[in-house]
Amino acid sequence: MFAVVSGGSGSGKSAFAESLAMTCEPGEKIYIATMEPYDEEEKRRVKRHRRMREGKHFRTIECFRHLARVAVEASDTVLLECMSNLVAGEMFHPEGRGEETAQAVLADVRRLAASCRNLIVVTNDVFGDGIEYAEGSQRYLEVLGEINQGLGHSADQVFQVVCGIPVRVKQ
Amino acid sequence: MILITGGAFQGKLDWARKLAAREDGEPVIASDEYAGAEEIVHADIWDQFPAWVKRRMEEGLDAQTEAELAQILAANPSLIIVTREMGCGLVPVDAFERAWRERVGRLGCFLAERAERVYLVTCGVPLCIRGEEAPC
Repeated sequence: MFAVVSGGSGSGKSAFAESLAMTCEPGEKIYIATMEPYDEEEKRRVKRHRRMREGKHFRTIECFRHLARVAVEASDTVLLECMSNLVAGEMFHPEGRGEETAQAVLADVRRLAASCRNLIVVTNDVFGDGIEYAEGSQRYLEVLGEINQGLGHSADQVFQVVCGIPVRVKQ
Repeated sequence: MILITGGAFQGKLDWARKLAAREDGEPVIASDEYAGAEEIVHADIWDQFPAWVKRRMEEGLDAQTEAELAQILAANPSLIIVTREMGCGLVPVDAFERAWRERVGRLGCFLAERAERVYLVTCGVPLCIRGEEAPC
């Protein structure tokens, strides 16, 4: 099963994605954390997410770029959170994929989906504020949008989480 | 309680008015960011929820928001609350803006858990995403 979970900030998308992973038995549960925390606020965010996962038996692997380096077993359930940070890590870090990000990340995700039992990718709906950003941010939106479309195309299930409620947009 | 959410300018309040329509006159709408519990408890519709949250954060009252909401809902279980989807953009540079939009999102989850029905309004079209749709 390959599921994509999208939603805005504070929408409850992580809690839903975790609950979806909990319904996937058997096999080990792997949590791929993609946010590289730079400041106190981001460290608090990581702590909050760690608390949310306590007792749910996830093995956490940090991966800020190059998803292909993460080794998983065929019986694993993998929760990747989240695509927006992975894309930033690939686009803006000197060791990332830069202009090749969209194609490279989609290829990595498809390979990952093919090598584990269940893959749940959390992505972020960052497209609705109507602001015309400067070139770098605008390019980021374009690339993340392209990746989200590619994920949606490959996924068996796509959810948009609104106020903690998963709205299924692809059956 | 019925919760209505959606982006800005999508027809959320119009939908709330339709749900609240009564034969004996216009629905009572509380929409002021300074609206007190007393006013909200006697309203049919509570609009501009994010502005109310913002004002409470600015005044340092945010720690009591869930308790305040629980009291309001207990006193007015048929209230229609209109909030807004505001988490669907790039992360704001300003720390307060960041905290506010995340807080409105989390409180939306809090209210949705307690709602009989939740509607997402897009392009004027209400989609019932939780609960049984009532004929209107």
